[in-house]
Amino acid sequence: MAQLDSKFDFHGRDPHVAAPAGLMTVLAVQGAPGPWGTPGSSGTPVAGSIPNGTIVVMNTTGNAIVADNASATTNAPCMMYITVDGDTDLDGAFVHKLTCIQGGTEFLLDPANFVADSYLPGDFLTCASSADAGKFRKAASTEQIYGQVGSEGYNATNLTLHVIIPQGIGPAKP
Amino acid sequence: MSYQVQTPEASAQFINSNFIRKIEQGHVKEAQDQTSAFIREKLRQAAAVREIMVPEPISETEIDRDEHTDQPKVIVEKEPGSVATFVQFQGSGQRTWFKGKRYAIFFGKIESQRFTKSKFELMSYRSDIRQILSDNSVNDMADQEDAKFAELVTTIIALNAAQQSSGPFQSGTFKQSMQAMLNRRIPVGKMLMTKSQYLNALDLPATTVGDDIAKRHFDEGIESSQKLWGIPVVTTIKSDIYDPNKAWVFAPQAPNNFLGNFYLLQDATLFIKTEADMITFWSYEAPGLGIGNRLSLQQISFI
Repeated sequence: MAQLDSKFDFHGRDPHVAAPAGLMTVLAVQGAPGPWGTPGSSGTPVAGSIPNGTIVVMNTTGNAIVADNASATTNAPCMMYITVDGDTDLDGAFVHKLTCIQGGTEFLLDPANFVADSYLPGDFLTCASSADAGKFRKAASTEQIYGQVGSEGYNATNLTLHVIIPQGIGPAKP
Repeated sequence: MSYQVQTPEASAQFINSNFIRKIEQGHVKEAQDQTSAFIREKLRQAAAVREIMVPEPISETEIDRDEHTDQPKVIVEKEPGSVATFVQFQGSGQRTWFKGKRYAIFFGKIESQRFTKSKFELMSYRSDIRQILSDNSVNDMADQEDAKFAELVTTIIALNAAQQSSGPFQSGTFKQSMQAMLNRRIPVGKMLMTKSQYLNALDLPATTVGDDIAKRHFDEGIESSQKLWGIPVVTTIKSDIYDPNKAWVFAPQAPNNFLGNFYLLQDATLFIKTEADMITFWSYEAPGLGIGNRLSLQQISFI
């Protein structure tokens, strides 16, 4: 048997140092801006618009697009990722890739990462749509579950939301 | 491109034990042979961008901070514009509240694959596979540097038709592109093209380049020439990164920098770790590059 001819190999990445159980992947940003996007610009790389905590999905070219519940690309079943290093920061502006975690970790979300609502521990979450695309919101019946509000729930002092994101493609909410 | 090794010495020695043992035993020739015992699958090469823009290592004291992020950047100042004018004896020059433009270099990390192997499996290799993979991974990272540079150049060229020249591989085409640069008051520094494109210089007739050069090309090949019409040529085998039907003319970085900047927070570094019987190693670096003067390059498309 020619074992050394096999093309089988591992292809994942080591876990993110802060999310050792998470499935980390790096996705290029679809339609990302670049430096010198306009002749009058200075040459400084142009930042993108996907901040940390944004839910993204992968399109058919393997690039990241912001998850929009109104779009067919995010209809269940769909694998969603949370951006942990977006392209609004300096390194993201330079490389225009997102470091994402598919699941298997918990986060404290910034208010910009979820739709304002009354959240209780255990609430199922999905991705929002249109102007709120990429944000979390409470899942309605038949919508794919992407996460759950964690035990700390909504922190009215810090305005953060504790969420638990399981790995895999979640089922629809009953 | 050389690289540093970041590891407890014992680990590197362990991985290379077979190699080192042979050297210690006086089998230097055999050990040297081991390093080249692999059958190569493709030619790898250092980054061409490093010959166009010389990388400068920078320290933390040279990093500019930002109020909104803890990520590093370097702000580079550009030459301010200025004019002068003739006036009568009672006249005066125009007033200006001068300001110099700036642009910023941001950084990213390039990392090779993380190679893992059991030491027991590693024992079955007669060649120093770690060395081969380490060397190759550094050149793989160089490919990423070139890909980023090519992306940057392509973006800039697409913005301005005046920076695009075309024609056959002959003196008139190169002259046209260099004249375009000079007409923008940009000096000509170096040219970049693929080796396969550079081979077309072999077809330059003796009536153009002279008998001596034509004869030398015939006898020694194109590698004997490092310049075309006095302009240094950087050639690359990376036809998959740099369009083989194009060449680029760049302004120089020295003595005055008309082009841009290439900084290194950290140059290529090999990291090795061992955990019980598992050996893992990878290479990484943190470069940042940018072209501060959009008009400092000209593209030639060969037809």
